[in-house]
Amino acid sequence: MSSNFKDVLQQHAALLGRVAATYEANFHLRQELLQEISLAVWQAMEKFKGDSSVKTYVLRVAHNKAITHVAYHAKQPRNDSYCEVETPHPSQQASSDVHFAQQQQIQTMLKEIRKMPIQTRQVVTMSMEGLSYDEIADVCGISSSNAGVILNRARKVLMESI
Amino acid sequence: MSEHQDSLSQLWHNQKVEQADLCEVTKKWRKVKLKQRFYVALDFFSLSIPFAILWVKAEQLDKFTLGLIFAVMSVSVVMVFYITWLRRFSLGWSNVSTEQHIQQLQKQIQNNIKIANLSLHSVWCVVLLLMVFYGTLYYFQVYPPEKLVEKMLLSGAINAIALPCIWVWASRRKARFNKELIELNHLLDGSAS
Repeated sequence: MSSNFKDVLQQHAALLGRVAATYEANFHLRQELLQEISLAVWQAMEKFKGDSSVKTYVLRVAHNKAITHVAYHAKQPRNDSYCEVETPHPSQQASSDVHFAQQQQIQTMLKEIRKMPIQTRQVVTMSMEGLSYDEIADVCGISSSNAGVILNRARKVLMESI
Repeated sequence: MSEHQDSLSQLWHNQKVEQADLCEVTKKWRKVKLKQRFYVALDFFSLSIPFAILWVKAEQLDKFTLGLIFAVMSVSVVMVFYITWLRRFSLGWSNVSTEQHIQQLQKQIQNNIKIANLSLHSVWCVVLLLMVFYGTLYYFQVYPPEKLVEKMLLSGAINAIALPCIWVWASRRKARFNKELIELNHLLDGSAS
């Protein structure tokens, strides 16, 4: 494995983890997805021509891989109910009420994002990761104004949910 | 709006996330490559069987059998190249826009359904082909009746085991890919479970 890939993966490790979390609630499937996304990014980096930022490129590849993954795992439930080992529950980690409340809000936000259509999910994720409307539009293959409309609607839904 | 964005963004970045295991990624890559190469090798290896029969037995075979094997072989060569071409997307990553990727993914799943369908229908085609084959051998009296019955029983026994297995395998694959396509469409419109 090249050191270049390792650097890219280390720099974007948290970002990839967050993308995986918007597609898979189940801990094991999320881990599997994260591995697949990392593998896809590794393979795709060889073809990176610098037309966009590395972050935009990584997000594009990651989302595409995640969509393939969730379609491929159609036979398995998309919720977190069937697996024995789950992501540690917020109550086990919370050291304060504030932290606990925040963890609950995060879980609620993620649940709401996972219910959204793929395109909306992708627009929200990329916006949270700091991409501009133009960058989001380029990755999704939609217009900037459409990206803006989708994002505003999604934000409203998310704010209401938390 | 920016206040909303800030609070959402803050929550977003406070997520606890898992990290990928680089060793596992490397292992998985090797496994995926090996699996794909194995499938392609298997497809091409299947071609070598009629070739081998032609090579070894050409002089002993009658013209009709030789012609039939040659016809099957010609169709098989075309099919193997077609299936290998359909497999081209399955190795894995895409840097096109998501809209294009989704279209490609839908196409790929539809291709997988086509491959499963071809496998499924090849079963009754083989049965039909064998009936025509032995019927013709009987009609032209290529072999003495006892030898013909012996050959029919042998190929019948082999196919009675192999063909139902292929049928079940192909049916399951077809059902699985149909489910994948439905799930993908549900994901696109946000109605997934």
